[in-house]
Amino acid sequence: MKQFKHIKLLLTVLTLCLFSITAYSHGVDEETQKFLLGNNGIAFGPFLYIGAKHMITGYDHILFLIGVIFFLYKPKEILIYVSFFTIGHSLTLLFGVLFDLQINAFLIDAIIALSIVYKGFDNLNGFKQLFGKQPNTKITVLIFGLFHGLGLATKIQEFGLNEDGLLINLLGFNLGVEIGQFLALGFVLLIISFWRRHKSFMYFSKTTNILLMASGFVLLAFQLTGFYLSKF
Amino acid sequence: MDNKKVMSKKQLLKSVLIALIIGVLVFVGAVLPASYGKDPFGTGKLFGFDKLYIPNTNNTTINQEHLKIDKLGSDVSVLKPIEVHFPTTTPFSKRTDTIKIVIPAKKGIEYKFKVKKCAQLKYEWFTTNKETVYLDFHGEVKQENPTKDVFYESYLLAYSNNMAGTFTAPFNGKHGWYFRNEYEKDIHLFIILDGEYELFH
Repeated sequence: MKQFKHIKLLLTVLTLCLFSITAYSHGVDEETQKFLLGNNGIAFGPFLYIGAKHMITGYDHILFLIGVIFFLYKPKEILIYVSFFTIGHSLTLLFGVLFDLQINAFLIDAIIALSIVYKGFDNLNGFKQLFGKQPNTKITVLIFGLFHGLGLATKIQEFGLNEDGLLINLLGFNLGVEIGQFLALGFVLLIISFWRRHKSFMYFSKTTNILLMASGFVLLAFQLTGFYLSKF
Repeated sequence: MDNKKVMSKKQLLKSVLIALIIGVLVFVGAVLPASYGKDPFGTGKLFGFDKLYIPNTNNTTINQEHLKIDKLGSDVSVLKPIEVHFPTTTPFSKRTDTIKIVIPAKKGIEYKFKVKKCAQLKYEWFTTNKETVYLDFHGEVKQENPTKDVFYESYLLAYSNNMAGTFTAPFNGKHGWYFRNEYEKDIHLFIILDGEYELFH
């Protein structure tokens, strides 16, 4: 139990550090983008940073993860589910970029928005109640992870990567994504662990998941509008 | 262990409906005015969300990098193939074509045609809504045994929405443009060619 407390403290400190770095470096980020547009070759460091930043500021990914861990109490369970998510998004991130899959970013992000709606609904026990069946949550996390990865792939493709050093840069980005996920998740777990000690957690769990679904709907509308406007 | 609060079917559907309504309200009330400049219920103006909207006019400046000599052509490690010095052969017959291409938002595509060494042609291209694209007008040498890293010569790098020019090919091979669209919307682009070349299809 004590070890868990120390880990929580460490995670808090690490997360706060990264958030402050990100806050200071908004200027740096634009420069990074300029650098990347003109960059040829290996740039492991910058891609690592960008990967981490994408995950931490990727509210659609974070919202999905919040939904996933909302009712997961055992660290082992959390680890299993997050691993499935990680495997899913890593596979499609690498596959999508290496095979230069041309996928519409808006449509993929719309599916990611739906994954948030799904998870909120699932947390309300929606599937059992409405359809009598409970989809295997580990498998759905893996499958939605695949879509999240495709979303990440479209983001990195927007930088117009060149062949030179692609694999190393991509691995850097992937590693950055995992680091970002680790930090964001740590932060979320911290907050949710404190909240779970309160009576209000169960009391507000229904409302929170409704709001989670609502945010998924907002994002869905946002992405579909973007898609429509980009074409017509 | 099932910690989820058990709700009745009716409550569940009500919850989804509430979520949907909240979603629509937030989207139409705030996101639409702030991100897309559309304010159907005046909430954007009321709360000031409309001030966040940056109109995406055709004059929106895209990030234009300073183009340098080093950026021209393939990497220095790729050697100039000997085919560059092959003698002139009979050029392709004269023809003229108008081609339309679509450059998807945030993407780059290539359009190429075939020429023989010393072939001459005139070209014109323009974007339909005057959007600026990044372009690399370049040529790849036609090689007997093509290498993995193809040698190419960049004749012109620029940011533009319209160009016209004449061109005399320095060697046999595929020539044409790489166009890149930095906007959020697809770009429709027309290319007019007139001279001694052949298309790919």
